[in-house]
Amino acid sequence: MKRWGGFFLMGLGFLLWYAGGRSGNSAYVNLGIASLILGIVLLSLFYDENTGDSSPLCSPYCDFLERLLRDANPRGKPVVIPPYENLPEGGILFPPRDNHPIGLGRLDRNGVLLQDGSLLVSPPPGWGVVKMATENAGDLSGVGVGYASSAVLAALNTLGAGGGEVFELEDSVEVYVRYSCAPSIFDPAVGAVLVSVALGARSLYSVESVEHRNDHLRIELRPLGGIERWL
Amino acid sequence: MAVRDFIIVFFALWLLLGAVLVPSVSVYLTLVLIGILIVLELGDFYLPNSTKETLKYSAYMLLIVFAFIVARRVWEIVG
Repeated sequence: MKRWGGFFLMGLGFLLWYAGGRSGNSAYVNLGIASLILGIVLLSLFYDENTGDSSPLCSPYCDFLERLLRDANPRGKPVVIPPYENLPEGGILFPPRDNHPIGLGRLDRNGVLLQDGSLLVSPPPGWGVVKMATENAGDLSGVGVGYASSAVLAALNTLGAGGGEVFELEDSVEVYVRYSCAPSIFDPAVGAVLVSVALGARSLYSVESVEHRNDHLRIELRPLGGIERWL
Repeated sequence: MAVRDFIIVFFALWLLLGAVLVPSVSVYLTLVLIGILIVLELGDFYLPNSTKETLKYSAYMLLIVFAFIVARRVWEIVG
């Protein structure tokens, strides 16, 4: 529908432009230009819907992590962990239940399914983007949520992926991010922004809610305190 | 209606009303350029990347056209 609408508007645009030029009527020429531009915009929307989230490189990765999470079935809220000594690339921890003691001292890079029933994903999805942002903007550790997330969003923008905004509220952080592969916190763009928030604040964050809105996710994060508190 | 659709409707209305109300093609092209820049700013988060790319290239093209319009105007005044 959008494709044919786009072609129709473009064709109409050329006709109106031609008719306007022949008759010397500038309103026709203007309408022709308008129709042409709207046609191109409609075609670009059609193109996006048909190529949007079908990237063959990243989808299996997101799917695999989703299946792993389903099988492990941890019931606690995910916790975003900033990089620290044991996990130099940070991670996302899925505890077996809410209010489960996190114990950062026990974690290391080698474990995925932990003995207490937690699931640890480290390095987190999108870590490469955080590394890229660090190379461009310098060390992001402790620089503040706003600066760190802006640096990562700029890196995502450079890659032509993601896009979003991060709002620091009184006792929470709201993240709006456009996912690049799948509407999940395992999406590389979403993971990169979540880790940037934790990295910027040097604090752990609990993922309180994840809402899927159009082509982006709204994620509410609650700060759990600094790394030292959980060691 | 999604925010993306609101932005597209706003842009369509901007283009169509401008086409009818503005008597000169050169002024209209400048108005289209302004409209595209507004839509890019408003829709940075809501529009898909392919649409933003299309609008960006349209804006670059219209900027060149705008430069010609300004140059012609300056030439008319100086000449």
